Amino acid sequence: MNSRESESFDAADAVRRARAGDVDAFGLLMKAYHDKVYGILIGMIRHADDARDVSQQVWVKVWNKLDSFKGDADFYTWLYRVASFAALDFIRKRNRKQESGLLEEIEPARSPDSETAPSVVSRPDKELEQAEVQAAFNAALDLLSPEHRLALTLREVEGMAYDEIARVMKCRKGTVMSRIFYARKHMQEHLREWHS
Amino acid sequence: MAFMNHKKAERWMSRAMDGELSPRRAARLDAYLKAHPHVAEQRDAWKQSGDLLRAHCAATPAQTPEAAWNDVRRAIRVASSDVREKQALNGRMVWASSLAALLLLVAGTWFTLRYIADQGFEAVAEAHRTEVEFVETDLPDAMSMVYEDAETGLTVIWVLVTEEQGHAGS
Repeated sequence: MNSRESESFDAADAVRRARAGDVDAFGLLMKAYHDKVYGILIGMIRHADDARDVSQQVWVKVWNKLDSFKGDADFYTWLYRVASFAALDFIRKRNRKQESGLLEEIEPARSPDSETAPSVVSRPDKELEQAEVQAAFNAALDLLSPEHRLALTLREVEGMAYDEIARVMKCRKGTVMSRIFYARKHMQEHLREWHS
Repeated sequence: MAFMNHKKAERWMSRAMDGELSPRRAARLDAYLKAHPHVAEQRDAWKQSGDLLRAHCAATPAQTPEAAWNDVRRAIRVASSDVREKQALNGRMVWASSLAALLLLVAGTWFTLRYIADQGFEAVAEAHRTEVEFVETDLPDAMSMVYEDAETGLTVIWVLVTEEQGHAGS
């Protein structure tokens, strides 16, 4: 379900009922937007277990802060903002822990198919190359700042327009344009280095 | 025609990919890219980045919304009962502290009143009276006298000196 289709299940009514304390109405909202929120988080955090934990925290926070949603923007814009800032907070805390040596280097999220190292199991060359490109892409993504990563994720994965991204990230549209442009340039240069 | 260069073309290309470039500027960009095809190659690299990011987000297994909702509902229940417990505990602590303070006040007052009743008010006053036993003075050949005035109960101190020095008393 994309953002606009989610709205057609009468999110406004579900929000109104949830604000009145109707937990089941909140459950409807959660199920409608769960995949979208998770998509942002996995694009940012890139570790499945952490993304699941942060997703749960986001929804509990949304439930507790429903009163602060004024209804002056779309619910999903407000929801994405809560999720985005939760992801940014998590990444900053993780980076601080890594810098102080408290955490091992975080391995990026893997799909079930890529659990085994390529050197151990023989795979067709094309799949191996794709896995290596994906690994190089993941490494490049890690080097982006959280804000650049978020802008790129909201654009490429969620398909949000620049002004929507600006509302979510609470910044100017020009800033969104710059961040996305810079993220693309950075990824391009990193992948070009890897290819060469 | 307004100035166009490589850097400007790159930025416009990024916006055009996202449908954020006006038709007039998109036309100018197209003309520039036709003349400079190597700039247009970057668009393919950027599209590849977008594809890889979408593939990454799609490939990672996620919980089903139903499973996620069960977790969230449980977390909301736990968070609500934590809040209620804390509020109840705070309320109990306030009652306990108030009661303890009241008991202390009552006990202290009772003991004080009982002591005064046993000893008598005069004894209490007497216990706090300062007694003067003797007086020292640096005046040569001076004599001192200390007595209690029967009428007022005050302690009187006299310091007697020779006629040459005069008298001093209080």
